Amino acid sequence: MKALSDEILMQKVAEGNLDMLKVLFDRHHKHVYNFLYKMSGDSMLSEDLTQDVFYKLIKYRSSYNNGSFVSWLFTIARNSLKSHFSRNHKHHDGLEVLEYKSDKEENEDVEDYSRLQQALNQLDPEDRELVILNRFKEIRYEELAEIMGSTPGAMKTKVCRILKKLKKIYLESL
Amino acid sequence: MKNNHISDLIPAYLDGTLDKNTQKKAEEHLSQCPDCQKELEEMKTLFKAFEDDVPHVPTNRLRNKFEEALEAEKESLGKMVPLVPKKKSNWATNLLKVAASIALLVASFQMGSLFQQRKVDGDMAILKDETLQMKQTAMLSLMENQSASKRIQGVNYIEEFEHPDEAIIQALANRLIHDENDNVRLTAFEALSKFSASDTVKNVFIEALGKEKNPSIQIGIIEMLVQIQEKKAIAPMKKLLEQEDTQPFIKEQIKAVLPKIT
Amino acid sequence: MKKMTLLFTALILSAMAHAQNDYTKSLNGIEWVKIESKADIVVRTYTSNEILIKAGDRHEVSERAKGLRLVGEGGNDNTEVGFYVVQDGNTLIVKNLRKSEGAEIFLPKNQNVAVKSTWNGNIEINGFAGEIEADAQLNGSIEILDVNGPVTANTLNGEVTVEFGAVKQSSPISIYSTNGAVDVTMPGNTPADLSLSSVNGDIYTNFDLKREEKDGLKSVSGRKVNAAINNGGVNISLKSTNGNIYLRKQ
Repeated sequence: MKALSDEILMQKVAEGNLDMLKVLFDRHHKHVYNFLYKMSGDSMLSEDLTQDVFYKLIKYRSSYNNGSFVSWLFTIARNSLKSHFSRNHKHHDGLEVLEYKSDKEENEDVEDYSRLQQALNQLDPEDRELVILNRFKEIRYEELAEIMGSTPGAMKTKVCRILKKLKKIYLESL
Repeated sequence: MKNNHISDLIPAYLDGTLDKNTQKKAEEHLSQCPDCQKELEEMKTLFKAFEDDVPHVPTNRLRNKFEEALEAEKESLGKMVPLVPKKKSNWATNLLKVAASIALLVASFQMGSLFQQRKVDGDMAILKDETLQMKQTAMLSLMENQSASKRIQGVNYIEEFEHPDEAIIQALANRLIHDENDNVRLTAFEALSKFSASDTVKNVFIEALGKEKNPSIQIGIIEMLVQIQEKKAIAPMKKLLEQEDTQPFIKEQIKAVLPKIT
Repeated sequence: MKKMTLLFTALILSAMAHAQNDYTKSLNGIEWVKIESKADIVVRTYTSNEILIKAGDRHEVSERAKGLRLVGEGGNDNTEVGFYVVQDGNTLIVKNLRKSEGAEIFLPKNQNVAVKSTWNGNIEINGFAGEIEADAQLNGSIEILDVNGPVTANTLNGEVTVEFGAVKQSSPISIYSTNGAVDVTMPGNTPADLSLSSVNGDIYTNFDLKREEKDGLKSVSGRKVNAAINNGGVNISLKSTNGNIYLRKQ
């Protein structure tokens, strides 16, 4: 049996077949979780937010518009992350509020960051986000552009620039 | 490839997403450029770090909570269906009728016990905000869809907004003025006509009247502008009177209403 | 074996010679087929994943035009059947260059199709399950039969007739005319939110419409009816400025 695409599954969910969400959860929850973890560096928070993302899939299922499922999923994940930080900070700076998190030391004794994670933490949140999403195999430039509201070409150029920057940081840390 | 370094192609080269031609050119260049070779090796190291990066694994709590939430939703669905006759909206299949739904949403979020510890008041505002924001995103992106039916669907979402912001009005205005499909333009006109008190909308109508060729939309706009006594409408109406390709019944209508704008 | 091949080649060649008025092109990677014509266009379904254009066979290239290429508005004949066909991204643009010569076009059932008539041509579309957009900009009429997907249709002076099979999708159906009648038939069990309106014409239906009440008030104007049937569902909007609206149960 050929596996159904994410889009068809989500379409079925939107039509009321909620059990199909389990398949989508199996396929994607680890990616979402890892995206959030790499962005926030906080495993508990990432778990809560992943939960939140799938909760929103359940609630907003009928607003799914047949576009790329992965783009939609990560758009929701980004929004959850953003609103988490703006909620805790009471102002709406979007992603910049993540900065406080990345270099903060208090977490480092709790979480054991890999070298790569440490290098990632030195990027701007916007850059970090792009490069993390780009490295997921399931997200192509088309999807990335959709998530960011840009064009595939622009994304390609941007990601390439960030990769070079990250590479420099990473190699220096070795 | 003379001195054109290919460092910008290296990530795609490593991912194997270059097309054959470019791939070949990149290989040729790499074989004779030490700088790019170095760049390639370094990038490989970084990519390897990504591959070797052990993904964090969430605890079982996550799956359990998810399945719990899903079951809860299925149950509430069974109860909801006969109760709520659907209204004119595509969002309406679930609980998202704005006012009433916020309370419900908060309740169900709590049911999922995720937000239990958090203050309900603060969440209310944010949830409401998020819901609208999400709708707005969906609406705006639908309006750019290649399919006319989807664009109409996007325009119809306007019913979800009591006080649409400038971005939404602007997007609707773009549909009315620039969309190639007559049905989309007419739907956009109807959506905008609910906000005819806004100056932006008035100006959009006047601009549209100068461009619109579809008589059904022309007549709608004319009626609307007469209703709100918009004097700036006189000029484009007179112009329509002079144009040869204006439908006779439109001309009659204009002649009848022009004196009413005083 | 060789003989067989030869025979086949010969057969195919002769078939091609007979089918001088046909043109085919693969539809790989094509999401939308957009057809534009001044004359009548009939679009039907078949099973092959390519477009087949059968140009009107009344037409014989006149002695005078022999060896010359037809030059139309917006393109040259690159098909030998009087059409200009070009791919633009995921869209295939198909233009009929002859002003009075209609054609029959065959496409796979699930293809999304947009047809525009820019002069007197009537549009007939039959049997599709994809999305359909039809626009008769001047005098043409539109007839869409046995259709299952979303439909957007608009005419100026001609009438629009649409017969739906099952209506299952969630994207809206929108059918408008300025001076013509709008005549729609669909299954009695279609769940839908209807919006019917005619400024100067009348509205006829054998569906049992419950007027939507707004704050306890019936809609004031008789020119416009909003109602849900079968508990509501897809948005269906039928409008005519000067013509009548007919909505029939199948």
